[in-house]
Amino acid sequence: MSEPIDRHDMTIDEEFVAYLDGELDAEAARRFDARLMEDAELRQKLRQHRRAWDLLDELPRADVGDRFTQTTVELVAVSVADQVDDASRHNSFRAKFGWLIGGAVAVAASLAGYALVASIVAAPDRQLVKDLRVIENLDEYRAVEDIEYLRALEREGLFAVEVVDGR
Amino acid sequence: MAVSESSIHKYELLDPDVRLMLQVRDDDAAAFEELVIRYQNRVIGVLTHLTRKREQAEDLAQEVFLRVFRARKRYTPDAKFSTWLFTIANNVALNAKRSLARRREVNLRADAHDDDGPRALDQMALEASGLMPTRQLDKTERAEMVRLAIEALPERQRVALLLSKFENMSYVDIAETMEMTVQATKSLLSRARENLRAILEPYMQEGERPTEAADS
Repeated sequence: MSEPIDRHDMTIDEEFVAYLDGELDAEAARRFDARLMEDAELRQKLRQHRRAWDLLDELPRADVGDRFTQTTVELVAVSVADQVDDASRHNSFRAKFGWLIGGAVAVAASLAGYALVASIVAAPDRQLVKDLRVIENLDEYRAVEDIEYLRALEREGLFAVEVVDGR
Repeated sequence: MAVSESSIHKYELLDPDVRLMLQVRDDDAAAFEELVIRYQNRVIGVLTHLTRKREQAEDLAQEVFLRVFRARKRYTPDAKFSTWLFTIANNVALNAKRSLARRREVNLRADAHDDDGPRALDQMALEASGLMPTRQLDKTERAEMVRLAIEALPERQRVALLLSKFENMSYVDIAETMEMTVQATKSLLSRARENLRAILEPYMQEGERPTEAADS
């Protein structure tokens, strides 16, 4: 599990702490032991670090006991029950209202079909509306019988008022 | 990162808590309860030092175990169980802190410093105890002093230190739990232990309160 610590990447402080934490390999640890033997200041620092480390044992430990276990297991059970409820509610909704949703879709489809058919059936009426002005003036057009003559009259401005009125 | 079958098998073989968690994955409620019993005090202990509030730590611990249960179907034993659990605990604690910060209820003292160095213990010790007469610290006072020293550390140093000390985690496990490199972990722990030593040394020398040590 332990990844070998590359001692060459370490600063002196990191190597020192790695030594304390037992993270140096055997050879590096032996070299560090030798340094300790020669360096009184390093030994002093080592003692200080160990004292500080040991003082952490003074911290009170948590001891919550059965109450915490029970409430935690209950919390998880409630959470699971909620999830099951949500899932069953979802399924129940589909079971109860599935026919309603299906009905609504059928009605919508019917309406859309009706609109489509109606628009096809109404197409001749749209043509009548489009031709309304021609139909209204059909008698005049028949009386003239010459479209070029009518265009000449239009160029003379004979229909100008009607056009303005028509706007 | 791909995890080999042999690696998974190794953890399953060596770590009894991994085997329990695999039972939890198969919806074994008793196995889950056993895991809660085994880890509740350890998780609460670490979270208490991270949040500084015992009640909040218990709430967060429950959140941690809830997440463990919810994640059971996706669980693969690619690390020691404790490493996986404390990764979740660390994330839950970080989320809680962010959430608190968003609500502007975060402890301003915790935000007043970064990862470069510890807070002034002198000030905290005074806050905790008032002006104490010169005398040796008794056990309760020592515990309080150590608690203050731990709280004086920047948060990531504190997490690394707690995992190293109380969970006996290797650098590799701490790196995995805190989602950082092993090299960064070495550096972080080095600073953490040096800061701890620097904070506590005056009190270890004479067994006195910070103000007394400073005056003497």
